[in-house]
Amino acid sequence: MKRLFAVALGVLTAIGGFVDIGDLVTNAAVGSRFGLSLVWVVVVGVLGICVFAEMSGRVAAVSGRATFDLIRERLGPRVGLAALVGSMAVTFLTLTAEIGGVALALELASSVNYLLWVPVVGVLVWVVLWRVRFAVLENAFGLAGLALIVFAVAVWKLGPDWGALTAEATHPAVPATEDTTTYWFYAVALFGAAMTPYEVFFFSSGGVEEKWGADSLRTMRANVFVGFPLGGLLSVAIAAAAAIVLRPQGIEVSSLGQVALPVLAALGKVGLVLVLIGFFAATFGAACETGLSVGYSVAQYFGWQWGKFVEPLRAARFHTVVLLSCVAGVGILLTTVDPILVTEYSVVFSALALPLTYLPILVVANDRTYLGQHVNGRLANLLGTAYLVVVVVASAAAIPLMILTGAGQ
Amino acid sequence: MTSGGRGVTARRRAGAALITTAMLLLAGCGADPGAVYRDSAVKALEGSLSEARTAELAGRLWVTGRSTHSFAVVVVGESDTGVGADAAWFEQQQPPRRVDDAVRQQTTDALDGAASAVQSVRIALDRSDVPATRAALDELRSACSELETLAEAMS
Repeated sequence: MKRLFAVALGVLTAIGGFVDIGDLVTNAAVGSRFGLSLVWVVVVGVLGICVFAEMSGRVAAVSGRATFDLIRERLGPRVGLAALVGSMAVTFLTLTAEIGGVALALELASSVNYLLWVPVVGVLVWVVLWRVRFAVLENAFGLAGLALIVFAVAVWKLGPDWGALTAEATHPAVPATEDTTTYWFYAVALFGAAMTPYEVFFFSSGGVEEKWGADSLRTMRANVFVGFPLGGLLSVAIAAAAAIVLRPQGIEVSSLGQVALPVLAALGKVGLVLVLIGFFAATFGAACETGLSVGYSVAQYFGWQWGKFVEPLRAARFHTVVLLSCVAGVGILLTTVDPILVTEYSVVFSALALPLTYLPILVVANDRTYLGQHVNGRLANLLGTAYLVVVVVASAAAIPLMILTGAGQ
Repeated sequence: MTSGGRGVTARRRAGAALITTAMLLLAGCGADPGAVYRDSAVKALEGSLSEARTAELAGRLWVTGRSTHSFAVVVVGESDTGVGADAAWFEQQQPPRRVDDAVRQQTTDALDGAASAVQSVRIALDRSDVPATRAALDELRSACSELETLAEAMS
């Protein structure tokens, strides 16, 4: 019974914790411009993050060691450093976007300008990372993030033409009002939003913190293969809501408020309360995860003591990195850079940097020295290699598409 | 790599850069400046339409009791800023020929009308004045129709 509860809790938090500011903004933007014609990318991205997270989680559970520790040992300090710099830069950009997202959610609830909320959020994130226990942090925000199911309820309540929506999702085509390069730019952005490296670092580092062993593999796989796809359904619901309400009116999403409008149209004030709770939980939870992930990656690479399960005094350098990341993220947002713009760039750069972290994990997951009998099987390698191709293509296309389309404008 | 190898690589890179520059220049030279200006007008009109319709939706949700005042104020305020930014961006574009002045005039009038209508909604909303917000929303609806018609005519 206890085990079942642990699995259920893990799955629920995986669903609630799947969506972050990148998913919210990108899915709504895509839905408002392309309808459901890019849903196939969400499917590809969710399967990709499942493959990536399963490998990374298995490595953590079997070896008991953290991702960057193994990457540096297995592939050498240079490759490790490249992976560290690439993933840390993207994770830091994502942290900045998430802090901005929390501030925007609070602005929508209070009408107090988001810039006044930014320092408050920065301090809150740091205090939570400093004081709150790992399990509380992971479960509380993951469960509160389930409030975003309100998007799926809104879609049902709006009573759309299900046949037309299904046809658009199953027969994807570039809409007449958009050009092909913009379509592909958003495909890469959506892929980057679904496959953010920090989710995998957080997941696998959390596994080390919670002392996973080989006997935890089943629970880990249930979280990944049930929780993440259900979280992906939330992404589709966000896109569908935007496609139903915003697209017919020619509204293109460029703010967090616009993302919420379809829910209000369907469910009124109750919907607004739930959607704001969902926004807050999703972005605050992701801010904590990205803040920790920056600290994890640096500390693991340099071999420092790290983790929430260690007394802060014993992991002083880890906590210093986390603190400095929060301060720097707040500093960037206080320059008045648009948090939504930061989000849009973070998902594109996430796609760009993905091979730097994906390939080393694939290599380590194939190494019997670390994984013994739990090394990648045929299916894992088939999917792993197929996704390596997808990840490399998306990475190579990200910047050219961004330049050609003016970041999708 | 040898120094000769580096020289070949450098020459290849320079050649590629030259070809790319030439292609970009040719692409730029081949474009009709009037069409490019009209494209800018359509872009500004569509951007403004998106913002104006957002304000209209947020405003209507508030007057029908489906949204909180705080939420509506923030969303309409952002739309107000967005419409203003679109109008300001278009004003910076140079009409290439005298005949394009008509495009500029029509577009500027439509953008200003939308900006003014969104401002009216924002002001009425800030005062929590429901009847005034309803009236401003009706004005905004017709401004949106004008933006839409003009954008369709120009594209």
